[in-house]
Order: sequence, then structure tokens, then C-alpha cells
Amino acid sequence: MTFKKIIVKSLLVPMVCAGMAIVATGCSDDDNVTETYSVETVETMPEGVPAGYTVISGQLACEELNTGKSYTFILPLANGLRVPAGTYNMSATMTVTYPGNDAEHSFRAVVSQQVVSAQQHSVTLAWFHYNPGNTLVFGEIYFAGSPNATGTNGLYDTYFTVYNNSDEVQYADGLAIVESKFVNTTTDRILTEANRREANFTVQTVYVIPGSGRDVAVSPGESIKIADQAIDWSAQVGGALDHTDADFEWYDEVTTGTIRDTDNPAVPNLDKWFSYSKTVWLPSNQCNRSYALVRFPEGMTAEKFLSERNGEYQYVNAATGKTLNGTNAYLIDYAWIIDGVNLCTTEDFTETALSARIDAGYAAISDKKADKKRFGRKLVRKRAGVSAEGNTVLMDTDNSASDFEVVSVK
Amino acid sequence: MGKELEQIRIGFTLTAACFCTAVALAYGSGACSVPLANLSALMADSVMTDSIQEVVVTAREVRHSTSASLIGRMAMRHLQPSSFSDLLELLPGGVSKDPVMGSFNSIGLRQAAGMSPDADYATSALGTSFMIDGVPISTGANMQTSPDASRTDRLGTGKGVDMRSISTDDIERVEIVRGIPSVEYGELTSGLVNIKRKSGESRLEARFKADTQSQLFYVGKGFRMPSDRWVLNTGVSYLDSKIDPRNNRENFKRVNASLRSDKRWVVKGWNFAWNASLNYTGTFEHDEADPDLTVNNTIDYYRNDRHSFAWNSTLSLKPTAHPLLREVSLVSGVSYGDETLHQRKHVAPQRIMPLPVSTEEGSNYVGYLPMLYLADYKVDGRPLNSFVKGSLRLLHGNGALTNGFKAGVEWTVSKNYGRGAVYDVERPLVAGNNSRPRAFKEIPAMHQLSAYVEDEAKLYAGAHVLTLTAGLRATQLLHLDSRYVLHGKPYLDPRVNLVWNPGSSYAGGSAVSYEIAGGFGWHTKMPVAAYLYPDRLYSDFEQLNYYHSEEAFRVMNVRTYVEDMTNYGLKAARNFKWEVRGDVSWRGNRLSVTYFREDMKDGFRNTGFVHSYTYNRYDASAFDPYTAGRGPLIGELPFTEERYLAIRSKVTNGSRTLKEGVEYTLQSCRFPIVNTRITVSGAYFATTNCNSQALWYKPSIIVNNRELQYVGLYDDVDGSRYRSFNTNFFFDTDIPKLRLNFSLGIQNLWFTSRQTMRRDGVPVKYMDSGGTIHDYDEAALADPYLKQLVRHYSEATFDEMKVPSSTTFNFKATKSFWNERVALAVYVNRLITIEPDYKRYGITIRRYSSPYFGMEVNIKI
Repeated sequence: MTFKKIIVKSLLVPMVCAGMAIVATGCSDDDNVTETYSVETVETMPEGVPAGYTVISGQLACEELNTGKSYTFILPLANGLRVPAGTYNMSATMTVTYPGNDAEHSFRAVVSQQVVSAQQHSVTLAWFHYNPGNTLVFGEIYFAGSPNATGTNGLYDTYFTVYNNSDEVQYADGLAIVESKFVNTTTDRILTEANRREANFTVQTVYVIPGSGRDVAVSPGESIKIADQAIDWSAQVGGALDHTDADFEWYDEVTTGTIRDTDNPAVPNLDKWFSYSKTVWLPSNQCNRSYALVRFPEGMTAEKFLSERNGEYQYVNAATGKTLNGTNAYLIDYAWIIDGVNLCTTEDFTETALSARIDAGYAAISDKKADKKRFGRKLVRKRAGVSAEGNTVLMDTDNSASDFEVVSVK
Repeated sequence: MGKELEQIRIGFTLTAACFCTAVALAYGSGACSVPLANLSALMADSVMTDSIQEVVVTAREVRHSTSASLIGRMAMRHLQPSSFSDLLELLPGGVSKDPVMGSFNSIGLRQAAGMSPDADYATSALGTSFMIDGVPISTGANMQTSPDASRTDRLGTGKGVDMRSISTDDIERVEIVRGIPSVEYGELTSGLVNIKRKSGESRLEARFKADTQSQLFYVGKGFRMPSDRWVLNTGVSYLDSKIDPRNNRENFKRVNASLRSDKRWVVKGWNFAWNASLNYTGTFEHDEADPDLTVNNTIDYYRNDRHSFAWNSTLSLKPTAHPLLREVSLVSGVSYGDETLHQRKHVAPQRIMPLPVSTEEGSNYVGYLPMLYLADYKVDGRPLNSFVKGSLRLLHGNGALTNGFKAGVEWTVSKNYGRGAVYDVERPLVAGNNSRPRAFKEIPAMHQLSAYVEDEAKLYAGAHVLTLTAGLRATQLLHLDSRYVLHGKPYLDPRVNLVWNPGSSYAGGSAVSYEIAGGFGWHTKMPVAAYLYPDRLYSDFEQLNYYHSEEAFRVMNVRTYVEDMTNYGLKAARNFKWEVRGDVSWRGNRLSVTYFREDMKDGFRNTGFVHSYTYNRYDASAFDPYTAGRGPLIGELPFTEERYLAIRSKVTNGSRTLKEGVEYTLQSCRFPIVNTRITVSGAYFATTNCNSQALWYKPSIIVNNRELQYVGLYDDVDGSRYRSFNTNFFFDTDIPKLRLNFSLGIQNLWFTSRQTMRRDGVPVKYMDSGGTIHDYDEAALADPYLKQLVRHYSEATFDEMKVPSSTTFNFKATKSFWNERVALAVYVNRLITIEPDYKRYGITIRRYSSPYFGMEVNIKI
């Protein structure tokens, strides 16, 4: 065990020196002593963060990629950052308060492949907002689908992934995937207090990943793929996707009717707690609704949810001015949401169905509504870097506008 | 002020230009040089001519035992119609409408303006009988359908006669009986359209009309044949209409041709008259996709071509001198249609679609639709209708009392010899559609026998004249399976009309004559073949869905149910009408007011019935296809038995249509000097459409993995009440000296309104999946599943939606040249519209409309 004292010169953060615990882990190989350097940390904060904030707590983990040694520092750094020469993946989290306000805000920063040497001893920590509870997040969202055989419409080779954005194993079973009742292009005025976007998230479908709570493990940096129809679409239409590797599919048993689903026996199905439609659930093909991953409180069952969380509401129809009833709606408490994404096309956006607390912006697949160019395009969460544990960290600033980018599926 | 001005939206420059042309045309190039003084002299001069009173360019209220409108040749010429639909503007309550050639035109007599056609309330249209020269147009065997929902408004099964297909050019006059027609006419609930075509020698007449959407050509002539008292009339017309003038790929074309013979002779004191005609009507509706706009340059199209050939004959014998017998006649008609609906479409599904198409009941394995295919869908319909009617008329006069007696027997047969839908069931027009076709020719022929007797008694008592028309009509379907309630069931329609002419009084030196009339009667319309013999229903319940990644292992199995959807309890639709009428005439001015009430409680509609099904749900989770080397078979899998409730619809008599209102017409004489006649007509209509039987409803939601397994029964009235009130002012001026006729119609639709009838949405009963019916009580309301049955309506759902007044100014003119050999005519509808903005729920609603105009030239050689 070696204790290393580190001096840090911070440029941006006013350092509050506290009785510092300096933690160093690993490294027992002292035969090969390398030079250590004091690393200058340059920190950048997201826009809108007032100067003079106070760091309440924080941690910076550095992993040297060649030796596998890791070093952890408590933030604010009391004595600066001092590490041996090497190549590092760094990840940092911190909680701060703004002047004159007790509310805590969390930030995260990751740096990958940072070289520390005689020539290079400065590192930039680009802090971004993050929600420590967002361990599982939407990684990719593909709701527009690939072009169908005539290119006139989108196929339902739609899917999304749930990504483990933390450094610990997370369990996805019991997690619900919900779709908003309200379209993000609506101009209707919601009258019922409980359905206002600041109060609750009003949803029209509730699908739940089956399991007892410890069945669907998602390793850090890994994701699970959930598809509408877990089939090899590429065998059907050229350029479409192969979803036989999906972890789950949502199978909508249509007892009788014209539009039916397929059920791949090798791919487990999601539990369907509620859906407004008796046929198949098609996520917003025009990508203008909101979605959330929900972790229900302990003891929540489908029956309990259905009887307690009914969210029928009244609204004023913008076109006619008429006060109407909205049905087939259920309410999700924001405290249960671990990640949420608003989707909308730029030209039609009015307001988000999710509160800004969950998602301050929206991800756009295209500017125009029903733009055929959206086919074959997916929304992918941007890569923020690699954590000290070597896991890819995706941008999760709780603002989909900056977290997601449009990528072609090809 | 500025706002008011803004509200008077004068049609754009094009209309203004058109209007100027119209005026210039109307007065002719020569007329422009007539000095104003001369013009008034001409006008004053023309007052002397008696014939000007004869020029009637509006519908006239018929002096008849019931309320009816008569539309003559002059009115039609002035109106410049493209099809029969346009004539309805002339009825009380009618307002001008642009031709809608892209969809079926059904008639709606005495119903509120602004009602949109609804298949569940089509009986009024179906129950309006169209007669051409004494032979009804039968639509009972029409069955053309398409599974493509975007085409349903083009098709008319169960909606009666398509007025687009009737050309007005060969029509001499039309009588539209809105009230209670004579029992001589049957197969109707709501009204009678009696068309009499031109007959007699005439010059060669030609008409060419062009309007914003269409062109129309017509040529016709009446020939005197060498043999004595024999006239042949012929006419051919062609209409080419584009639904959107910018798109020549979507159009409606119509060809009408007829050859009509009128031969008269006298044999041994009997006057023989034999009218026969050979008629052809072809309608061609095409809608093609533009290959430049489709992705693969494919040509998808919809074509609905209908050819109809008809032979009508009327033989009438009138004795020259017989104390009683006035006429014996035999009317017959045969029509044969050759109808082909052809739709071709490249279908690219968006999902993998299992496609159950087995026609066998039981468990069936199912295939899948390809992701791209060409659907070729054809419906072959060949309706054959025949009609024979024998009738006689007697007249017995005895001074103060005369009795006119009518009796007759009528027999109609209709049968469709078509092959029905002809297509590959595995390549359906709409992806996922799993209907199974059947040939129309398998449907038995419908035979109908009717008989009637009627007496018209006229009692002269001093200045009073009392006319009582009372008749009874019996109708029955023949050769119907004994399971039908209609089997052997005669319907009796008594109809009574009474007219009292109390004689005249004098005012201002002229006689004032009065007429007070009223009547009541039942009217019966038998169901059409498509209602009596509906398609079988195929339901496929998913038993095993095993879409393995390995294609060879894929299995899907359904339990197929084949059900006969025949409603053997189906009855005829019956309408009870009564009306009272008052009529005052003075110096060529006439006011006529009618109050009516019609109540049809058993109109045809589709009503849901709860059907219970059982099927097995197979569990293949333990099956290993790799060991078996194949996919699972249902015989080797464990299963659970499931029950399922579904709402299936059958045609019933569940619709009620209640019509109430006041119709009025005030027609002035032609005022001297200005030579203008004012006609004020309009109506207040209140129409209620609702269900007359309780309704089953199953919410289409999924709770906890399964479709909700309860069905609710609601005794709510699911309907709407529509009202409208209008007044049309029509100023028509006729200047014989200038051979000029022009008119200004100001059509005021004071309001239209629609109100959904109140419902509470709480079921009275519910049925569980076992088929047991329970009361819906407080406990049910608390149950998380059962409470899904409550249908929530906001208060605003039941608010009255009232649209305030709209006023349009329509201008029409006809000018003749060269001894009436050439006539030019023009019309502009909505030359000016006054449609004030109004507020509803705080939102300002602006209304816009643009003018519609057309011109035509008529030539007589």
C-alpha cells in the first residue's frame, strides 16, 4: 500500500479544503517505480451553471490502462491530482449546490485514454449534468423503421436498447417501458391537475420486462435490445435489420383480427400491463411521443397499478375549443422514472410530455413531420467517454437534444 | 365597418371576369347597343305577352293530393345541371352544392342541411324510389364492395340510387313527392322521384356544358316516323368530370343513351299507346396513381365501371267510350347491369402478417404474407332486375261525387349473376384482410309481389270541393326461406290524403283560393339482397404463434369459425308520415306551407351482437424444434382452453330516423315592368338519427396481457339531432323580346346545428367470458377491470354545435339567339358569400368558400 500525496491546482473550481481522505487502491508492485506527475485539471461546466457553486461531494477515479492500477480521489481535491505516468481512463462524479440554494445538482465527467507524462500533465474534465439514478438509460431508439419494400413507408423492424450507463451490474427485470399519452406536437390544454406534465407522466402503454428482480442482469457498458418483432427482417426486405438477437420482444397477442403479431419462441416477451390498443403496439412511427424507463416501487403489481393509477383526464381540444375527456391513460410518478426521452420533429414541437426534470429537451429524428427521410434512421445516445472501469459512458445530461444524435442504421 | 366588409367575400377576379362575361353574354352583343329607354319599352312590351307567366325556372309546388315539387324543362335549363343531384337545390330546404363526382350521390329528402351520410342511416336514401317512365330503378341486387376503406364512399350497396348516374338532358319533367305518395308506388319509405322523359317530335338539340370540374355533351332528337302517330326520341349524353381539375387521373365519366318509341293507334274503340325504350347508362370511375409520384413507377389504380342496359315498355289501353273504365295498362321493365370494380395495388406490408384464409372450420395452419406483392382485386356484379305491373283505372262520376279508382299488381325479381369478388385470397388488397369471397350468383333471387287499390273521391258541395284519396298497398317477398320472419309476411301500407278546397273569396277584385290538405300513411321498404343474404363471417383465433428464427420451424395455428351472419329476424323498414298543408293563391301569387313528421323506427343498420367462442392456447415453451427437426404441431402441445367474447355485427332494424319540419314556398306572379318573379322558399328541418335498440360495446384495450374479457350492454341512445333552417330568395327575370332570362338566387342558411344525444356511458349489464350476464352495479364500478367498461363522455360532447348563417348569391342567365336556335347560358354559384366569423368555445371560426361556375351552349337545328 502506498499513499501518494497529490497537489492539485484547480483553475475553475474554488477549492474548499477539508480534512481529506486520500484513497489509493491497488498497486503493490513497487519494484518498478515510475515517475509521478502533478496533473493540472481544467474543468468546464455546462451552460447555465452559476459561478460560485459549492462542491458537496465527489469522486474521481483514474485507471491506468497498461498496469490496471487504479487511483481514486475525493473531490474537491485537497492536494491536487498526482498520478504516475501512464494512460488513463478517468471518470468523475460530483454533487454541487448553487449559491443561495440548497438543491443539489449532480455532474459527471469522463476522460478516456488520457496520457500523463513529462510532456503531458493537464487533463480537461468536461462536467455534464447527470442523474445518479439513471443507471439504465435508453441507448438507441429506432421507431421510424427501415423503408418497406416500396420505400413508401417504414417497416416495424423497430427496437430500442436499454443501456447500463453505470459501473455496476444492473437488473432490468421489473423495469417498465412506457409511452406517453400526449404527443409532443399537441396544442391541447390539459385541465386535470394530475395529468399536467409537471405533476405526473401520463402514459398509454405499460410494458414490463419480466423477471423476479435478479433475472435480467445488464453488465456495465452493456445493453439489452427490445424489438417489436424479434425476427430477421433482412431476410424479408433488403436493408432491414436482423432482430433475432433481441433480448426481448413485445408480443401483442391479437386473439382475432386482421393485424396480428409474430411470436419468436426463442425471444422472451415483455409483460403487457396496459395498452390503449387491442391490436399491436406501434411506437410513434413519426417519433413525436415521449418514453420512459420506470422502476415501480416495491410491491407494485399490474392489478394495483391499474386500480390506483388511472389517469383519465379532461382537456380542451385546441382545434375546436371543446372540453373533452381523455381515456385509456395511466399516471406514472416522476420519482419512479429512471430515464426519459422526449421525441419530436423540430417543426412541430410544442411542448414535451415529460417534465423538464426528466428531460429538458427533445431528440429530433427529422425537421419535418412524416419526413420519409426518417426511415432507416435511429436516435443514438452520444458517447461521453470511457469510465475508469473501462466502461463506455453515454451522454446523459437529462436533455435529449444534446444527448442523442441521428445515425443511419446501416 | 371594415370587418363587415371583410366578411363579404367577393369571389376573386376570375369570378368577377366570369360575371362580366355572363352579363355581356346575357344581353348579347346586340343588346349592348339598346338604349336604356328602349330597354324599358321592350320590357313593358313584353308584359303584354301572356306566355311569360309560363316561364317557370324554379320548382313548383304540385297541385296534388300531397306535397310534391315539380321541376320542368325550363327550370332545368336555367339551372344547368350536370346530374340529377343538382336538381335537389330546387326543393324547399335545398341549397346549391357543388357537384361531388368522386363519391356516391345518395338522396336525402326532408333532412337537415349539413348531415353527412352514415351507413347506419342510409335507409332514407334507399327508401326513396326513382321511377323513370313508370319503371322503378331497382338497386336491390347491387353488391359491389371493396375492402379498401378509402373507397367505401364511392360505393352504394344499400344506399339506393346513385344520382350521379342520371343525366337530366332527356328529362321532360320530374315530380318529387316529398309527402305521401299514392299507393301505386311502393318500395319506398321516404319519397318518390318520378321522372318523365321527353317524348314527341323535336328539332335536333345539342348541349355543351363546361364547368370547373366537368364537360358535358348532349345530342337528342325526336323523329316523326312515317307510320301514323309514331314518334321516336333519342338522346346521347356524355359527361367527363374530374374530381380535382388539376388531376386528370381521377375522374368520373358517364354515358347515357336511349331510344324511346311512342306509338299510338285506335282499334275498335280502344286507344292504344305503346311506349317502349331501350336505355344504356355507363358510369366509369377511375382513380389512378401517378407513376411519377410512386416509388417504383408502379401504376396502382381503382376502376369502377358500370354498364346498365334497360328495356322499358308501357302498353296502355283507353276505351274511347266506356262508362267506367278509363285505362288498362301493362308496364314492364328489364335491366341488366355489368359492373366491374377493378383495383390493382402494390402492397408492401409494414409487418410480417400471418394470413388465415382457410374456409374450413376448425384448427388451421396459417401462412404469411410476402413483404411486397401486386394485389389484383376484381368484383364482378351482374344485377338483373325485372318488373311487371298491370293496372287499371276506373272513373265513376255522379254529379256531386266522382270516384276515381285505381288497382294494380306488381311483381319484381332481382338477382345478381356476378361472380362477386374475384382475387387471390393470399394476395389481399389490404394487407391482413382475411375475408373470403363468395359469388353473388349463389345468392337466391329476390321476388316481390305487391298489389294496391286506391280510391280518389271528389265531393262537390257548393263552392267546396273535398278530395279524399285513400289507398292500401300490400307487399310481400316470395320464395324466401321459411326461417325468415319476412317469409310469407305481407306488409300493408294504408295511405290517406285529404284535400279541402273551401272555395274562393275576393280581395282587391281578384279571387283568393284556398286549399287545406293533410294526410298520413305507412311506407315500406324491403331489405336489399346484401342485407338478407350477408357474407359469411370468418373468425380466426390465434392458438399457436411460433415464428421461429429458423424458417423451417415456423408454425402458426388458428381456430377458424365460419358463421352465418344472416339475421332471420330482419324486417322491412317502415316509415309513418303525416303532414298538413295550407295553400293560398291570389293573382298568380301562391303561398304553400307544409308541416310534416316522419318516424321510421326500423331503419337498417349494423348492430353488434355478442358471440362467444372457445379456442385452445397452445404452449410450445417446452418444445425443442432442433431435436424434433421441425416446428411444433398442436396435437403434441399442452394447452389451455380459452373463451372469448366478440362483438359481431348483423344487419338489423335498429336505426330510427325521425324527421320533422316545415316547408314553405311563396311564389309571386311575374311583376310587370321588371318582368321579375320572386320565389321565396325554404324549410325548417329537424332530423334525429339514433339507435332504437340497446347496444353492446367492448372497449378495445389490453389489461394485464389480455384483451378485456367483458362486454357491456348500454341502453344509451347513440344518436344525433340535426336542425337547419333556410330561406332562398330567387329573383328571376324573363324578357321574351330579348330572349333573355336571368336570375339572382340569394340562399340563406340561417343556421345548421348538430347535437349528440345524451349518454351516461355506464353499462346496465355486462357479460363475462363465460357468457353470463350480470347487473352492472357499484361493485363492478370498483373492479379495476370492469370499470374499463364505463365510457366517459365530457359534457361538451353533448353541446349543440350551431353554425350561424351563411348567405350566398348565385347568378344564372340564359340568352337565346337566332330564333331560339342557339342559347348561351352561364351560372356562378357563390358569386358573393356572406359567412360571418363566429366563436365557439372562445375560438374564432372563419369560413371560406370559393365560387363555382359554368357555361353552356344549347343548339337547336
